[in-house]
Amino acid sequence: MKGMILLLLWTGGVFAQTTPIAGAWLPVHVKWEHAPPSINPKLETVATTVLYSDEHGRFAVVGCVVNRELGRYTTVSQGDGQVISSGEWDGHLPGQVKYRLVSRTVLLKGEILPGSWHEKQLSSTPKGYLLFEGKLYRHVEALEPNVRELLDGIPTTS
Amino acid sequence: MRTWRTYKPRISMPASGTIRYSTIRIKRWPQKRLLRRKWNGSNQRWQLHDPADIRDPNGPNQLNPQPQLNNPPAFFCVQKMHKITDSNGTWDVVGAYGPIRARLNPIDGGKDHGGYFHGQSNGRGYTHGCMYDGTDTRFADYMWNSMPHAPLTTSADAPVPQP
Repeated sequence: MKGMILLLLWTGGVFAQTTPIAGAWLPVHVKWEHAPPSINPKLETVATTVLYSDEHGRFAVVGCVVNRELGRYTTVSQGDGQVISSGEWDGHLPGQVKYRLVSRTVLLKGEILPGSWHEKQLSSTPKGYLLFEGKLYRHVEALEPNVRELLDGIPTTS
Repeated sequence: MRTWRTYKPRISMPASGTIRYSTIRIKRWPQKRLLRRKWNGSNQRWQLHDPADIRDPNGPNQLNPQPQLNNPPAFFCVQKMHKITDSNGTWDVVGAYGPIRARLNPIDGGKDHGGYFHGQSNGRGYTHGCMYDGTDTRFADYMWNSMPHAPLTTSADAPVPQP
């Protein structure tokens, strides 16, 4: 029994050390909704927040809709609009991120972008999740190119 | 330098009992990598309307409650749009989507990237993968007022088989 506990602790430690730095992250707890069956009975969508980080220290918080068909694909629903905050991460876990709102699909009258900077903590769990603003996020490889494209597509702001 | 590329329309529009190609020109913004990659050489096809022909004449009255999003909830058919005012201020939904949007539902088993056919009047000049006709509402008006209540196959830069 003692050996088992030691093994679990060791495994947890390994996961904590190997949490991937770069990638896209989806909240662990989301409520998927089905599209109308006449459209596509296999399609599920969720309005959520995706985190993104890359090996150059770029960090983003993207409010968006994610579409999926189980076993086939998971993708950002590009036409459903995004709210993109972009910034940087110090590369540590636990570490600091800072970001600011840079783009909205639907503009808020009178709002000036980019917005003000936010600084938050980012950490990982033994199971390899990210912990951000009290929510757990899991790594979803399929979303990474989608989010990277969105970030590359936003107007450059100073 | 910004340049428009204008394509001969690929949306087949039934009118007066015959099939013709629209005179409306579909514009796209070629310098957005997102669009180039997706559209060039793409044979993906979509359909406007679903067999149930769901139409929403009132449009969304609130933005998605997910706090980071602030966009209209996804809609899979044809929907009228209007500005939304809430405690944060006025959201320019029509600026982003025009007065009408119609979901481009993939057929042939394509991935659903959440594309719409929609207008735009906020001056942005690009979309994230949607088809749009800027401030020209002729096709949107046709779609709402006169389009038959049946799925309409749509594609870009690819032949559209006539139904």
